[in-house]
Amino acid sequence: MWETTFAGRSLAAPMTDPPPGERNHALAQTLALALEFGSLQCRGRCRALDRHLAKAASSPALWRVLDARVVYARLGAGANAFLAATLLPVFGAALEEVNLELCTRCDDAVLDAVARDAPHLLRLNLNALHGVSAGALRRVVAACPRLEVLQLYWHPKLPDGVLEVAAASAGPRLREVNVSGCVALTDVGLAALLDAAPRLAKLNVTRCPRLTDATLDRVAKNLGPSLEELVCYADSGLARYDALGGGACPNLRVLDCTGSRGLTGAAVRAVAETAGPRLASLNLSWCVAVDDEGVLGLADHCPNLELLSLHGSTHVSDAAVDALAASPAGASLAALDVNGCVRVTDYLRRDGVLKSKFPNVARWTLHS
Amino acid sequence: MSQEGDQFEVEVKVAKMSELVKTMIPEEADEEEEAQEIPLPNVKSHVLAKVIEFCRRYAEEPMSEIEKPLKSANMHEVVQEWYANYVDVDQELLFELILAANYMDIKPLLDLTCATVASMIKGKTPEEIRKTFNIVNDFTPEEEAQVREENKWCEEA
Repeated sequence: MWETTFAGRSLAAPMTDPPPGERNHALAQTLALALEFGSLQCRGRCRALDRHLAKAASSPALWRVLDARVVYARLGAGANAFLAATLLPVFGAALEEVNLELCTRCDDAVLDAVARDAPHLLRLNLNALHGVSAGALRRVVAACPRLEVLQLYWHPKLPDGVLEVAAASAGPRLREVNVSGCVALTDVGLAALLDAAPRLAKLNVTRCPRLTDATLDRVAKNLGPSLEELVCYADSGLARYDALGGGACPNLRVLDCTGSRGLTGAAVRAVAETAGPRLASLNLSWCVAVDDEGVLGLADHCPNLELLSLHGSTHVSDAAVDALAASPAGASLAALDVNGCVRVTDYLRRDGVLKSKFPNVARWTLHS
Repeated sequence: MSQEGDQFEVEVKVAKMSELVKTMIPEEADEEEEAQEIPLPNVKSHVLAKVIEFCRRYAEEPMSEIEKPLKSANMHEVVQEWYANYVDVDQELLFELILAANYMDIKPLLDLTCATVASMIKGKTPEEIRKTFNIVNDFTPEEEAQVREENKWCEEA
C-alpha cells in the first residue's frame, strides 16, 4: 500500500485546479495502482502520457513479468534489438519472470541481454526457441541463480551441459523443470540436476528416449517427499516406477507413464501404496504390462484419484474395473479412459454401465 | 465518522472488512457491544457512504476475483452485475473511492476500482488516454520522440 499524500482532497476538482503538473502527479499515483490490472502494452503506453505517468508506469512493481511474446507479435524480428537494447536494460533488474515461449525469432543476443540485465529471475520460459544456441542457453541459466521454474520444452539438440549449468547455478532453488522433447538428454544431465535440486516438485521428461531407469531411481532417491508431479510421457524405456513406492515419494499427485513397455501392475501398486490419498492423476495409457494388480492397488489406496487412463492396457480386466468402481475412487474419478482395454468386456462398455459405476466421470476419452 | 463529522452505523462484521478499522476494534467485539466511534478524517461523507454500500454487499455476496491483466474493457464481463453497476460513477468519485479503499485498506474495493480505471485505459492510444483523464502532456518534443520510439512495440496493431 502506498501512502496517500493527497488524502482528503478531491481528485476531480483538479481538472482546472490544482495546476496540471500537480494533478498529473496525483493521477499518476492512482494510475500506478490501476496498472496492476493492465497488460504489458497498456503499461508501456502509459509511459508515453506525461513525465509523472512515465515514472509511475515504470515502477519496478509493474515490471516483474515480461511476456516477450507480445513484443515479437508486434515487432517481429525487430523485437530482438528492441528487447536487448531498450527494454531489458531498463526493466531487467525488476523482472521476476520472462516468457519467451515459441518466440522462434528470438536470437542469442536476447538471451545474453536477459543474462546481463535480469539476474533476479524466478521463472524463465525458454520453450521451443529454435533460433538460439546451446551456448546462449548455458549462459542465461548460469546467470539466473534464483530460478525456481525453468521451462526448456522442445530443444531437440539440448545437451546435458545445459542441465549441468542450471544445476550448478540454481539447483537448490529449482522447484519445476520441463525438458519435454529434449531428445538428446541422457541420464548424465538428469543426474546433475537431480543431485543439485532436492526441492524439485515438478519434473517433465516427456519424449526423452535416452533416459533409463537410473534416472527414475535418482528421482526417487534424491527428490523423495519433494516430488509432486512426474511426467514421463512416451519414454518407453522407463519401467522401474516401483522406485517411487516403498515410502520414497509420498506426496506424488501426478504421474504420467504413458507408453512404458515395462511398467508392471506390481509397480503401480507400489506407487499407489506410498502416494495413497495424494495421488490425483495417473496416466497408464499404452502401458501394456500393467495388469489387474495395479488397478486393485489404486482401488485399495487412492481414494482421491481424479484422472486415470488405462487406454490400451491389454491385461486389465472387468474384475479390476469393478473393484475400482466399488472403491472410493469410483466416486472421485472425473476422467477415466478404458478404450482399447480388450479384457474390459462388452458388459462394461454397454451404454450407461460404466457411467453408472463411475457417476462423476465427465471425460471418457483422454487419447484420440 | 467521516471527515465532515457525519456518523455512520455499521455492523462489526462489515466494518472489519477494512483492515484499518479492524485494528481499531477489539478482537472479541461483537454486534451486542456498545457502539464504538472510529474517526476516518481522510474520507468524505459521500465517499464513506459509498464504501459502506460496497462492504455490506460484499458481506452478502463476495465479488468474484478479478484476473490480471484485465480480460475485458467492459466491467460487466469482469465482475457480477451489481459490482459493475457500483463502479459506473463519474471519475471524481471513482478516484476518491480508490483513495478511500487504499487508506482504509479494503482490498476487494481497491481491486474493483483500480480494475475499473484499467478498463478505461485498455485498448486506447496514449492520446486517447490523455483525453479520457484530461492529462496534460509535459514532454518536450525530443522526449516525446524518444518515448514514441521506445513504445513502438506496445501500440495497438
